[in-house]
Amino acid sequence: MRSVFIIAFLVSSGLSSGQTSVNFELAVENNENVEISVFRFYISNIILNYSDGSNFSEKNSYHLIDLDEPKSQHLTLNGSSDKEIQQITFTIGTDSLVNVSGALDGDLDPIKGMYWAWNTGYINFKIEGKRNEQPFEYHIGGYTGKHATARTISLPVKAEKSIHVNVQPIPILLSPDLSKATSVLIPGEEASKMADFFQTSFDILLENE
Amino acid sequence: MNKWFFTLLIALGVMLASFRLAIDTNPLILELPDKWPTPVYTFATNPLTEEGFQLGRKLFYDPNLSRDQTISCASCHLQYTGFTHVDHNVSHGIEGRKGTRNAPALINLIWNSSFHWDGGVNNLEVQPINPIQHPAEMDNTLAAVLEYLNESKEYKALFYAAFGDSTASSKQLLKSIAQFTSSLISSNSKYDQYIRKEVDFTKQEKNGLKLFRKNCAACHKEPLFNMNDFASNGLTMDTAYNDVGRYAISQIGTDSLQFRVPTLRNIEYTFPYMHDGRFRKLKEVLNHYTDGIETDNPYLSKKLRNKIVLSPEEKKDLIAFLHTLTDREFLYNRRFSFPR
Repeated sequence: MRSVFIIAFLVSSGLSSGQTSVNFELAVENNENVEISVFRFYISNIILNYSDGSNFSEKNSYHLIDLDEPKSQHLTLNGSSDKEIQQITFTIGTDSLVNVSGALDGDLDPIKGMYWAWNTGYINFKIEGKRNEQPFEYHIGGYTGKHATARTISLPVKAEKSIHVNVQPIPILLSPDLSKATSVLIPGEEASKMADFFQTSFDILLENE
Repeated sequence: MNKWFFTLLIALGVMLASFRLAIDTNPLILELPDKWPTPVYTFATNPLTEEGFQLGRKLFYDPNLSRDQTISCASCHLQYTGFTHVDHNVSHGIEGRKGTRNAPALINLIWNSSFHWDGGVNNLEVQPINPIQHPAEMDNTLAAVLEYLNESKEYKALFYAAFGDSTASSKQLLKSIAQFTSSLISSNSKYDQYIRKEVDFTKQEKNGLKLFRKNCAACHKEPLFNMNDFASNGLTMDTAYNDVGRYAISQIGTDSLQFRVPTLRNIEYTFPYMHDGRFRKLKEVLNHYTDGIETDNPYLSKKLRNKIVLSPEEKKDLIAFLHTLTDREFLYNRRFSFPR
């Protein structure tokens, strides 16, 4: 297992042809009002659209991005093209298929702590910390009907080999809409609203490359 | 030079690790009863093998899965009583802790589209995470269970034999337990033999079947005697647990006090009855359906809105029929018992 990591590390230091990196920059520097202690979310079904109209979809595309695991924030998409990328599309969270597929491994392993056993399903994102000295805890998941919490977004890109996605949860955590909800831990209307807010914290850092 | 050699070694290691040695397993084909519905669980991503089944069986009976090594799956799911916790109204966990619901019977699970009284679990494979982690059951973690398994030479050999990989992962742990639980099929009761025209019913049993079909079968559908759905059967809310049932999962108001419609197979032995085990005798269950239903319960199943009328004699006949659902071959099948 360790040797696999070493190889992965060697590869990520330089991209070869047919590889694209997607880097998630988590902007969570401690703001005087917000302190984030846990921040983890799933990114799945990544699609790259190239300027010539073609596209690339990553196979088995499920990634757990974790503030505490810097390596998890840098994805390498293998088998992609070296053409100019115009847009990236991905789902924040997991699709309904994997939520009903029984025991899975890799980043979808229930051991990762992003899984509800009592109400089967993945926790699509988890943010915990303190806001104005008050603890908050958001475990957002749910995959059915109007309580579905996965959100697919498309962002314009101008890049060839590496894409930098900026994730800024702090403005959302400070928005008045959220100040009353200090903990959301089950699927439902509140979780669904949180997912709507959370998707707006993703954008692309320009000056890519 | 050294660096290159090191890199080469790593590359070789990766190749070896990723190269699954072809292992010989003995595939099993589950014999499904004739004319039964198509199972929900298909084994598509979990091919059934003798090795996988035996590993799952050993895990099912292993108390080391619990935090203090005292409770196994079988503690609350005893074979001789249809894999339920006979005589216990709610499940018991480590250190004498008590759950809030009656441990359900594990019978014909591959036909279930959801698990638990509230249907919160959507796939047979992932159900065991619940008892392993629940503070009132095994109070353990998946990580600790895997650590225990990976320290055991015996388990390493069994995981290798079943999956070609001696390292226990949560995926293989869960898939092997599913191979055991999916095999728990009960289809040879006197009722089944009667349907297959191998035996005859007594006059009393025949009348019981007639009464059953008239009053009960709309929800407890033959041949599985359950329904993949939820209903309120008019029980008052239990005062000890205030269990809202399905609502806790769906957050839909009208799902309040609804619970999964359980199978009645082997019902003679699976007492006490209902989600909170409030009834000890079948007679009490029938008395509830004839006289105990709270008709002002807004969530009451539509199928129970017309009063069920049964004379004392008819209740005896109905119970005689329910006893024909006992399948001794299943209850005493040594393949499902503690592995020796």
